[in-house]
Amino acid sequence: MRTTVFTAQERRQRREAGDRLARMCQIRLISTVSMLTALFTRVIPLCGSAGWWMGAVCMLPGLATYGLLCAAIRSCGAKTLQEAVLKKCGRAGETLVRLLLGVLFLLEGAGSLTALVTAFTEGIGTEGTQFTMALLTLGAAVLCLHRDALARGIWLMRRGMLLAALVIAALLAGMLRPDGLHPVLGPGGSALQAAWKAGCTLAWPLILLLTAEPAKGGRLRAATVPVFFSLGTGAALCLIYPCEMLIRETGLAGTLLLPARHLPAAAATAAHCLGMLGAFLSIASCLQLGAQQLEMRRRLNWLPFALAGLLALLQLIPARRLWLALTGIMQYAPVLLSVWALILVIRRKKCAE
Amino acid sequence: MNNDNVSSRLEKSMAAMDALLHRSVNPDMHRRLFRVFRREACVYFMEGVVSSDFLQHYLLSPLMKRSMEETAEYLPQLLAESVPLIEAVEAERYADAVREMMIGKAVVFVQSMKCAVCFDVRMFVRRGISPPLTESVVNGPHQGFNESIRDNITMIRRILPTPDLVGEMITVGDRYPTALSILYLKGVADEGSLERIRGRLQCIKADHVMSIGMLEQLLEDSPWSLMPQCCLTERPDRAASFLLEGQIVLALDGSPQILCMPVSILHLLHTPDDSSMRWQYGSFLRLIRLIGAASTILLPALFVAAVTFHPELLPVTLLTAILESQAAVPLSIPMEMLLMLLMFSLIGEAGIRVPGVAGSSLGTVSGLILGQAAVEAKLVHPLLIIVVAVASLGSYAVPDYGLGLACRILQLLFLGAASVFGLYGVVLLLGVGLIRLCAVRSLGSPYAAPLSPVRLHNPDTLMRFPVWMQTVRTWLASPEAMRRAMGSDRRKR
Repeated sequence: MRTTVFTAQERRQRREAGDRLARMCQIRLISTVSMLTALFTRVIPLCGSAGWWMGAVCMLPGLATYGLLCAAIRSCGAKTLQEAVLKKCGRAGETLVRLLLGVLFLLEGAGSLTALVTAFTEGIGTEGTQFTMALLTLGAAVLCLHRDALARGIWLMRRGMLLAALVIAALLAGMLRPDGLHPVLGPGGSALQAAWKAGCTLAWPLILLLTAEPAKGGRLRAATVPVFFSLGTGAALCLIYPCEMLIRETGLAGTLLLPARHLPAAAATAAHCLGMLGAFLSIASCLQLGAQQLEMRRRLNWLPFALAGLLALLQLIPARRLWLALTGIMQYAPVLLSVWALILVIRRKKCAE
Repeated sequence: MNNDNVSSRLEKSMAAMDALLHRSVNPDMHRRLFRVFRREACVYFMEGVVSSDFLQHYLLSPLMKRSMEETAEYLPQLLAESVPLIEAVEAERYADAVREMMIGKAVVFVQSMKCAVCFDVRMFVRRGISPPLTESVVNGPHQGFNESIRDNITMIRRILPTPDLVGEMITVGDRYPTALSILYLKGVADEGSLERIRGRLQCIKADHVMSIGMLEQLLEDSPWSLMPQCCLTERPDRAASFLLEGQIVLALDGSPQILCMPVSILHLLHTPDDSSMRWQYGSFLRLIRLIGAASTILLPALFVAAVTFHPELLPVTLLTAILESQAAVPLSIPMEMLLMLLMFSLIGEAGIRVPGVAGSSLGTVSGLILGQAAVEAKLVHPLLIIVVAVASLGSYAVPDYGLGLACRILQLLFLGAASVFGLYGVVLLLGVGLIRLCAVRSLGSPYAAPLSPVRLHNPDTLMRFPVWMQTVRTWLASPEAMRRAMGSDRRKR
């Protein structure tokens, strides 16, 4: 029974804490979508049944950097990565970090958009072209661009989405075959090496979590959901399908739709819908958060719309080429940002000491 | 309007009043000359809004009895003391005198008196208290508001007999003002919300505010949103429960409904007898209502999406039956669905406009006949009629009329999305819709609260748990008054 009475100030603080929680939920969604897409399209098609442990291995560098950055931010007494860089390197450093973060959000958005549109046009078989589907999706995403409502809406939908994911997981559980784990090394050593090269940046999107103030439970808890959800889904995939089937799919649409391929029709459609909703919300969030980073301290209301236009224009490039280019950049952009931010924060601290 | 001060010369005052009231062409604006305290005097009143008994026995008769008395005292005060009427106010200007007269007062002018005295002799024609027409309940009181603001406030005061219930009286409408009361519980309502509502009322620039619905549109936060952002009720008990939760209630003269602000979407899904019933029954009914709302919005769209884009979702026998009957139908399934939904909406609307029992009979008969005829003419197939009927029934299960209409408009939007993109269109629109829902505010408070953002609340949201667990008010109340007594000492033992 709740009988606590709050003062006006306490109530305001609780409301701010709630908003932080919703904002963190929004970034967690972006990280989860990004990590799942990378796992399905870059790691598992190369290492096959070894994906259940290779996924975890590929996450280690990202997790380590995330931990280091968290420690560095805490040592500065800052709440976010931008604030830490501002404290240590001044306005110029902060501007640069914001610029990089903005580009990173945009790349994530472009990646999710390409994946979503390709899944439609090549996988599910919708009649629209790549560009028209992208325009439609971005048009809908623009409708969602509201300062508070987007994060709150994602917070509102999180339980429904989780429930749908659990129902699908329960259906998948009935199809699990322990012998799917063999061979442990997948198609072989060279394939594992290739998977490691392609997937060692799997957990780097976690650094996006550092752009917002931590909610209750801190940074560790914030990273838990994306990491375990991605690893769990990857492991389930490896347990369900034989190795040959996993490495047979190489196209973007094929790899994205593979997890639901052998589910009952209703569950497969639900899984597609869930994936689409996640990707769509991730695109809208990327537009909003990317614009927030890029607009620095001035409020530019037109910026998210301009970014949406930019993402739409990118879809004029054929999907295959665009995906290759985005994969290449997305693989290393977060690494560059993380390493650079880490060096900045640590080095300046040493100088100060 | 004449803003001149009242003259001490009676002839001048009468000329000014006659001109203001257009007495030459307005036969129901009456003037009666008499003498009081050895002076010429006259009384102005409007026929139909004053009680002729009051006027004769309690105003004119006592004053005329003192026609020969001499006095040097202050005349307005003496006039007020001479009659056994409760309210007597002075009007310094002709405009004020006319305004008072328009709300049913008798205005007295006396030679050499530099103001008019307005006496309350109101007696409007009004409807008696009857059961609410649109908010019937199984458990709970059966009285509804009428068009008199005074009666409506009295009904609320009978439920909440406390001086903490404040009813600030103001007028809205610049040229033809209407009386409005801002009702709230002092110490319970949030001061911020009160300031906001006062500010918005002051900002209204309208010649006349005809109805509470018009006032709602002038006060709401997001005029482009489909969702109603205020709650209209014609039940005094519901108004009282809003007040107890710290919300603000507006009563407008001439409207048999009152307006409650701020609200969340959950308030619009609750009914007054939810709290009168045991929690299990109340929760069950809420669940049914939610299913009704969801089926109104989504069922036609899901049917079209499943048949047109995802036939693998349907059992083979059902799909075969649909496709076989579809072969004989000239229209596509989305078109059939649209046609039937529009037809059912037409029947519903016609049923409301046709008076009395004939309305419901018309709805039933036309539904049956048109449905049967459409199937026999092979314009639609029978399963589709069932889907449309369930979806239409669902909209009537939504307790708030405005929300029910919003659901029906959303139904068409979802149908459009499903017709073009199948289930993916439905999901996309659902995502956009839920996010836009979180953007709506009601008097500055988030509309989707306490679900998102999370706010301090009772276990009385989508489901309703026992009343003894409901020990806090809503997040809309003043922070100092969040706690409330609810329960029984027996439970503590």
